[in-house]
Amino acid sequence: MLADLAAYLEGQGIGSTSATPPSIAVAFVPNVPDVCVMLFEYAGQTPVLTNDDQNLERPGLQVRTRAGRAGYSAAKAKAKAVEAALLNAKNTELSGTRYLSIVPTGAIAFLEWDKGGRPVLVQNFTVRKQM
Amino acid sequence: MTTNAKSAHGTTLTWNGHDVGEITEIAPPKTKLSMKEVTNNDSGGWVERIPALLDAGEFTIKGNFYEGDTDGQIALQADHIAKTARTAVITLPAAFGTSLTMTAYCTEFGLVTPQNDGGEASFEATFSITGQPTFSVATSTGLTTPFFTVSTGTILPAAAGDVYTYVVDVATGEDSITVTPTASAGTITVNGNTVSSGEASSAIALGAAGSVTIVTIVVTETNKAPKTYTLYVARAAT
Repeated sequence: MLADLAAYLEGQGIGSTSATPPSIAVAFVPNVPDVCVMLFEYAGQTPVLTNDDQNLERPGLQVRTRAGRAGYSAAKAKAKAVEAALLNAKNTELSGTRYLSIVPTGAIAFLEWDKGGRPVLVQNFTVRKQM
Repeated sequence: MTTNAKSAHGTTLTWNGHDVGEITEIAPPKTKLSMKEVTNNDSGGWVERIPALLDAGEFTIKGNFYEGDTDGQIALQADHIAKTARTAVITLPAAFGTSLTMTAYCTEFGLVTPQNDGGEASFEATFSITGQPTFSVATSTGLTTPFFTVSTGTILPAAAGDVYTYVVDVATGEDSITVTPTASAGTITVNGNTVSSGEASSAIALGAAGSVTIVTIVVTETNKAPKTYTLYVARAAT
């Protein structure tokens, strides 16, 4: 799922997964660049099972967004762009997997100032996708 | 203890011979027996009732709405509007070998389109059953020719696949018996011990002269209800 969504966000102009270092990081926290998006997954909710095995799963997605020192506004703007892109990914096929919706479970929130004094924001999503 | 519980996931509904797709929940009907109160002056202070009519009631389904399911969900909606009764079959997963067949009307059909959480569009339908539904459980074939033989004694009535209770008369001098069952399919047990078809069981000790010993033959095929045969082995008193 994370690779699908990273590629999707790259296609939406959010950042790059292939640059060195990438500005969209899949399941890790890079030291550089300052401005980056980090994607993590967690258990989420129980799947929706159908009688004919057209099952849906509902994993959780956590998006962390970071910017440079004193770059809170930039981090927020990046987080808003990610949110808008993910909301727009309804009924979309990504890398052969059908995604019904990616919906935030809450607003963008401040997570921490990292060791470099950079702001890190976080937002969680519920993903509905074909199992 | 090993549970006999099985998952209901995979239970299907066919409507007019076609599967209704992407069902997420089926709430099968509950048959209800109406009771008529017949309390009278002789009831001794207690309410008395007698059975009246049986009602197969209603059942409901929910599922992901799929506009391409023309023979299933869409046909269901059309039959609802046309007030057309159809044959509906609820079939539990193969592990149960169980189904429920009935004639029903679709009395409610509606779509649910949640906006706020990005949830999938779904449909819900309610069915009203008319007449008697048929509850079917797949049953093992059971014993097949020559059914079973015993090492000693006389079997009454003659062994058969659809006769489930026997008396075996044995002479007083016999203190054990073996049973040789035959079944073309499934697993056979005699008093709980597995026996190959056409092979004799281990010796079963009989009770004292004049007593009756019960021997049970069970034939079980996978995902089917077993068939049980009971032999009352009567050892003559003298």
